[in-house]
Amino acid sequence: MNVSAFDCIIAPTLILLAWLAMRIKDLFVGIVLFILFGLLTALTWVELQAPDIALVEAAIGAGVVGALFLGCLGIIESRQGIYQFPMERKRRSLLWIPVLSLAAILCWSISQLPPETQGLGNLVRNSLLDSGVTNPVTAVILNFRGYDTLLEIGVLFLAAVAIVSLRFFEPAKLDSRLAPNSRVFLFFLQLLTPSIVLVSAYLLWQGTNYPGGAFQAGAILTGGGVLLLLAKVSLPLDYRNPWLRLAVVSGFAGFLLTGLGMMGIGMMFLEYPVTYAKWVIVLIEILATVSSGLILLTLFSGCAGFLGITRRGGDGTL
Amino acid sequence: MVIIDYVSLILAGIGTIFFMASTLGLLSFPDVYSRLHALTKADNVGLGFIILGIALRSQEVSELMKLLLIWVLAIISSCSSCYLIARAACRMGIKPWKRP
Amino acid sequence: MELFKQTAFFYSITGVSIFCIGLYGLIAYDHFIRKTIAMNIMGTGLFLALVALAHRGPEGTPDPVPHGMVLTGIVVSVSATALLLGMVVYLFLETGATDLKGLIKKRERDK
Repeated sequence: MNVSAFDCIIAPTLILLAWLAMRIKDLFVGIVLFILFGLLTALTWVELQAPDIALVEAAIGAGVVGALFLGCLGIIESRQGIYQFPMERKRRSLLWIPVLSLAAILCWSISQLPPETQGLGNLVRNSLLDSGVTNPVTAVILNFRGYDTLLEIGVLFLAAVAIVSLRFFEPAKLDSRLAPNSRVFLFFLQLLTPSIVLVSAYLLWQGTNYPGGAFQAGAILTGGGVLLLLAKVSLPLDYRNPWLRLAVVSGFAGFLLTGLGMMGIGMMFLEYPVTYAKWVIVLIEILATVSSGLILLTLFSGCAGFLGITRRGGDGTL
Repeated sequence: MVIIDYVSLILAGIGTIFFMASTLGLLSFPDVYSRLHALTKADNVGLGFIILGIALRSQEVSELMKLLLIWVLAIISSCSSCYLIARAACRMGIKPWKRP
Repeated sequence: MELFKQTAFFYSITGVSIFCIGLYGLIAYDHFIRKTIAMNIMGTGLFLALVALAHRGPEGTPDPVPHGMVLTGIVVSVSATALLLGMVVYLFLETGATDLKGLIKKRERDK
């Protein structure tokens, strides 16, 4: 496990990209560098033998977050004259002192750690048969530490609620430069949308035995949704619709009800019976995929102006 | 099976050369249209050679089919985005570079 | 120094430095979108350090519990970024300011 040439090339590039992404004066270039940083980080996850995280980082960390930033920049840049404020205050050279000392303290404490340790890995691998799946990461996030995932889906849901409450319900009138009504683009989407659904379902199903899982699949559905929004396909993202609300809530509610249902059977909260564990996990994953895909799509449309950007009146009227 | 290893290595190397040539084009060509022309070579031909090299070492047909699907999807999306960027540049009024 | 020739410690040092770069950017720069980029960079550096330290076992057996934590962390950081950007857009539409200096100027204009 010695450091290879690949590591020596990627690690300084990551640090350089992180520094440049914040520092560049043109925000568009900075965001593109940030997306690049996310993709190289995904490569690093593969090098560190974490392919599930690589999928999530490439799909969500580089893809969805990049789309969020670009959408936000599109709204801000579309009004002229506001963008010309200077980049930063007077350079804070004094700030480097606490930051560098924090870095030194962290490096010193990392060097005190034992160089060879298993952590909880042996415990997980020995209990893998009881969990119902054979992918250790899926077993950890959906069975052994399912409580963390329940709260994570809850946080996603809260973010969606907050974003929707910042905006109106009517879709905005789009700037005509924003969405090309291009035949090539529509044909491309006709080819791509079934593939997206297929790949998402494939990742969901493979998550039980190979790298994959619910959040990767949900992020791919979000990617498809973003493309459809950009092509002016009128997706019914009206939050007054009760079916949409049900679909968004279904991830968190389904997980919670499953956990409580286990208590009803006589086991502890979120403890699955060993023979049915795989199907419980797949059911929770299906609900989580659909709802997290919809939630991420809502987050994107809230930040990019697809949910309505009309100004409120001064006294709180719409 | 050492011959297969060498052949796949050579094919992947050719793909990498196409990627490098495309990056050189991105950095040194004068305007948007010629840079797009250079970039799509990376996605179509470069990726194709790399996938050809990897496909020679695959064990099952399903792996081969997945690799081909990846290549087809990458080609389709790169072509579409190249067209959209060129169309947007044309609408913004960027003229193709002419030799002075 | 031989410790840092191992992959785990090498990447955890990289993660720590990326975290500190993000921390500097979060405090030093004015524009809200830059601050959000810096926050994301901090998160990514932290995850890098966490997963690198999970790689300390024998080859081929990384510890899957930090992998699960980082998965949760990426999704939560996306939620936080989306909320931040939504509020940046809302603030921009209400006041026309995209950084702290603009906010201060607008407040002085309104007085």
